[in-house]
Amino acid sequence: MTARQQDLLQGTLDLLVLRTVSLEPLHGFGIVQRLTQLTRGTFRFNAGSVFPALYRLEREGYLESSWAETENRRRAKYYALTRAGRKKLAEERRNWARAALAIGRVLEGA
Amino acid sequence: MKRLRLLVRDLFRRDRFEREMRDELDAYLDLSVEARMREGQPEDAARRAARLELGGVEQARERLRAERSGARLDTVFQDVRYALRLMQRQPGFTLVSVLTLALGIGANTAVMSVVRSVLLAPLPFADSDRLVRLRIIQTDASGRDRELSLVPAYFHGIRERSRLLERVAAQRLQNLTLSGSDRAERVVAIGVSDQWSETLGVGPLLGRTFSEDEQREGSAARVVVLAHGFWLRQFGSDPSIQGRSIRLNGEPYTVIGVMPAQFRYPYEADLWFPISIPPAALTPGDLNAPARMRTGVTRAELDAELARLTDELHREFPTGSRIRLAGIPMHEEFARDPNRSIAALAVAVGFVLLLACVNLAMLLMARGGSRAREIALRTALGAGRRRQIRQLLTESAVLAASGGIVGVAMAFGVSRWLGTLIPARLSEVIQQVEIDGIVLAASALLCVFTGLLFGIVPALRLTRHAPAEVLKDGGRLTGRTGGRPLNVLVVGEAALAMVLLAGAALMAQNFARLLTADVGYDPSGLIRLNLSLSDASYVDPGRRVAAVRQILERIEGTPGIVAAGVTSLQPIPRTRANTGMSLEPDSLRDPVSPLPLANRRLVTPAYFETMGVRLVAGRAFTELDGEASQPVVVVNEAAVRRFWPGEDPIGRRVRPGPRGSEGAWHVVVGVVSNMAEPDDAGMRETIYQPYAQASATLPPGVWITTSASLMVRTTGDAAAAIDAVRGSIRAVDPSLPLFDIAGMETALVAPLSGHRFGATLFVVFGAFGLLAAILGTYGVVAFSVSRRVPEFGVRLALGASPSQLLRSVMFEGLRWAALGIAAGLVASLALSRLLAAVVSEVSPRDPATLAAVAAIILAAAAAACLGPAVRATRVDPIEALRMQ
Repeated sequence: MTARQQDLLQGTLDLLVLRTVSLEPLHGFGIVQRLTQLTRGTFRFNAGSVFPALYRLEREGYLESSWAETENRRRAKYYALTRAGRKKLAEERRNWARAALAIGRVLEGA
Repeated sequence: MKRLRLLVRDLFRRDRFEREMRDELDAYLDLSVEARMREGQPEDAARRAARLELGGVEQARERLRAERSGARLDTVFQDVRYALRLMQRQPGFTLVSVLTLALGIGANTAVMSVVRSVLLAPLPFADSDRLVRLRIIQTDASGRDRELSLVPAYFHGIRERSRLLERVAAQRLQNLTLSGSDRAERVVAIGVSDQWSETLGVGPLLGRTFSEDEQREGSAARVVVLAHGFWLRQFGSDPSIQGRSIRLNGEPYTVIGVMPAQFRYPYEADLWFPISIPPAALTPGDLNAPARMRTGVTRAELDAELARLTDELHREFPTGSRIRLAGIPMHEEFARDPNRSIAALAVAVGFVLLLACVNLAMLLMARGGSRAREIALRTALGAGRRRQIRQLLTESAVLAASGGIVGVAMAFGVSRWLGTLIPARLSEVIQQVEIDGIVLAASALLCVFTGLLFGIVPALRLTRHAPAEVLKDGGRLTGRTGGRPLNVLVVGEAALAMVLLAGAALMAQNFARLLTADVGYDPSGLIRLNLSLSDASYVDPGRRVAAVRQILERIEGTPGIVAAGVTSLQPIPRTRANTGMSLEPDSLRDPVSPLPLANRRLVTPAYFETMGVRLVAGRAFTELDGEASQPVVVVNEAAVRRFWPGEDPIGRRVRPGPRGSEGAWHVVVGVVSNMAEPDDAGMRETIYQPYAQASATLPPGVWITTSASLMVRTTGDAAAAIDAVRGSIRAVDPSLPLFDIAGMETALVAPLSGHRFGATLFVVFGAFGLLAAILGTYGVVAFSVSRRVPEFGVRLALGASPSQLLRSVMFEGLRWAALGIAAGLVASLALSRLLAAVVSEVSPRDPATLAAVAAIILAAAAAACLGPAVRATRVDPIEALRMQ
C-alpha cells in the first residue's frame, strides 16, 4: 500500500462491487482482487469493508450467493447479481455518469 | 418476500450463519495467503498481511454479524439480557433508579388518567357546545356577583321570547323517599319540565322518556325515568323494569325508562319525574335551567339577547335587586375549577419526571467511571461506537421499563384515590378516573422517551474516549469535562426540594390545625342522624313537627344520651339555606338595595344545649314557642355584628324571606355563640327559628323542613346510642328513612378531604424533591471524585491529610447545595402569596418551618457528600500516581 492510494469515494463501493459481479459470479477474494486490478491500484480495497458491503447487498436483495468450488478445488461462496441487482446497477451507473459529468463541468468550465 | 425469508432464516439459524461466515472468511484468508505466497512472500508474513487487510478476523466477524438480517433484533435481546444482569449485580443502584423512575412515570400515568377522564372525556350530552345553563347573576351592595338559580317567571319569559335558544328546560331537585321494600330510602329525585331530554340531547338506554301528555301543564302523570346506577343498585339491572310500579313518598309511580350509565345530571340524580313549572311565579323555584342554543349562535349574541330579556323581564317582574341573566356554557360549568389544579399537577409531575431523568443521568455518569474500562475493552475488541451507544441506551431503556412497570402498578393503586380530585360538580358527569389502553400506551411511550432522555448523555460521554488512552489511564475518565452544568443541577435540585418541602410542611401543619380547628362546639360524642320527612303522610307541616317532637321525647331518658336536638338541613351539602332578611327599620327606609342574607335554621329547643353552644344574651327557645305564640328568632354573634353592630339586638324585629313576602315579623329573643353548622362551611350570620313555628312562619312545601338532622350527644358507646335512636324512630314511624349517620368528629374530617389530598400530594412531591436533591448531590460529588482520583493521589503524596481532603470534598458539594437552599428560600417567599390561598391556619412564611426545612435539606446533602468524600480519602497515592 502506498501513500498514493486513496480512500474510495463515499457510496461508490456498492456500485463497483455490483459491476464486478455483473460479469460473472465471484467469491469474496476474487472480488477484492478484481477491483484492485481494474482500478490499477488507485484505491485501497480493504476486505474488511468489502465483506460487509456484500452481506448488506445480499440482505437488500441485489446479490444472491451459493457455495461452489474454486479452480484450486477449494469451497468458496460465490456472489451473483439478482434481477433487482441488475436494475440497481443500471441506476447507479446513470447516477454516477450524471455526477461525473456535473463535476467535470464545474472543473472545466467557469 | 425474499427479504423476509432471509430474515427468518438468519434469525432462526444463527448457528448456520455463524458457520458459513467462518467458512467464508477462512476461504478468503486461504486464497489471499496463497496469492501472496505465489508472489514470493513467506507464509507467516503472508498470513499476517492477509489478516491485517481484513482488519482483524474477530473485528470482521463482528461487522458481518451486524449486517445479518435481524441482527439488530438479536443484539437487542442480547443487550437486554446484559442490562438485566448488570441490574442484578448492582441491587442498590437498581433499587434507587427504579424507584425514582417509578415515582416519575407513575405520577405521570396517574395524572394522565385524570386529564383524560376529566378534561378530555366528553360531556354526556349531544352537541354539548350548544348547551348553556341559564342563571341569574345578582350583584350585591359591595359589587360582588353571586349566581342564583332561575325563578319560574323568568324561565317562562325566556322560553317564550328567546329567538336564539332552541329549547329551554328546567329541573328541580326534590328529595323523595322510596318505600315498599323492607327499608325506606331517600332518593335524589329531579323534577323536570317538558323538553328535558330534547334540550340536553340525551335519550334513554331502555324504554322512553316523558311524552308530551305526561309533561303537560297540570298533568299528574306519576311516571319516572331511572338513573343507570339506581336501576343497578335497587333493581339489579332488571331488564323488565318498564311498567313496574314503585312507591315514592307513599305514592305509586310507574317506571317508563332508564337513562344511560354516564348520565347522572344534575346532582348525581337517582331518578327523574315530570313537573310543571307554575307560570309567572317569582318565588324562588331553585330551577336549574339548561338551554340549547340554535346552531351557529355565538356566546356574545346570546349574551346580548339575555341582556335585552333581562330589561324586559325586570320591568314586568321587579325583583328588588340588581340582576342580570347569563348563559354559562355547559362545558365551562364543569371544567372551570378542575382545569387549573389539574394543569398545575400535570406540570408538577412532568417536572418530577424530568428531575428523575437528570438524576439518573448523573448517577449513570458517576458510575460510568468504573465502566469506562469495560467500554474501552469492547471498543478495542471491535465494537463500533454506535453499537456501544446502543448497548448503553438499551440499559437505560431496561431501567426505564422496569421503573415504568412499577410506576404504572402504583398508578393503578392511586387512581381510585385520585378520583377524589374530581370536584363535586364534575361527579355529576364523570364517575371515575380510570387507566385505559390509551393512557397505558402513552405511559409506555413515556418510558421509552425517558430511557432515551436520561441515557443519551452518559452514553455519548462514555464512548467518546479513545480506548488506548482509557486503558492506559487504568480505566478512569479523568480531566475536567463539563463540571459547571452539573453544579448548576445541584443548585436547582436543592432549590426545588426547598420549595416543595416548605410547601409540604406548611400544608401538613395547616391540615393538622384544620383538623383541630374550633367549630364552636365540641364534636366528640356528638352523633348526627339525618331523617327525611318528605313522605306523603308528612305533607302537613304540623305532622312533621309532631313527629319530631315524638321522636325527641322517646330519645329523652335513653341511657347514655345526654341531649338530643333537631335542626333543619341544607338542601344538598355545600349549598346554603340562605334567606333574605328584612330588618326593622333599616330595610324599610331603603327599598332598592338587596336584602342582607343569613343562614336560616329551624331548631328544637334542646338543639343549642345538645351542640354545646353558649347562650350569650336573652333566652333560648322553649316548648312554649309554638305555632300559636309570637314568632321568635335567636341569632348568632356573627349576625349581631353584621346587622346590629354595637347595639342590643334583643327585642328587635326581623322578617325572614324575600322582599315583598308577607311573612310575620319575628322578635329576636336570644343571642348564641358562633358555630360552624354541620354541613356548612365556616361560621356565618345565622338566624334560628323554633322548629315548632315552621308551619306557621314558612310558606307550605318549602323544602327546609322536609329533612332534618337529629343531633345526639352521647356519653357512652356510640353504636348502642345509634341503635337506641333508631329504635325510637322506628317506634314513631317505621317508614322514616335515616341517612348519613355519622359521628361529628368523622363528619368534620370529611370536608377536609381536599386539604388532605393537597397536603399528601405535597408531602409526596416534597419527599421526592428531597430524594432528588440527595441523589443529585451524591451523583455530582461522586462523579467529581471519580474524575479527580489522580489529583487526590498527588495531594496525599504531597502530605495532605485525609481529613483535609474530606473537608474539601464536603465543602465543594455543600457549597452548591447551600446556594440552592438559599435560592429555594427566596422562591418560597416569592410563592407564599399563592400558598396563602390554600393555607389559612399558618403563615406561608412561617420562619420556624422554613428554617427547619432548610436544615433538613442541608443535612441530607451533607449525608450525600459523605460517601464520595470518604472514598476520596481512601485513594491509594501510589495507585493514583501510576495512572498518570
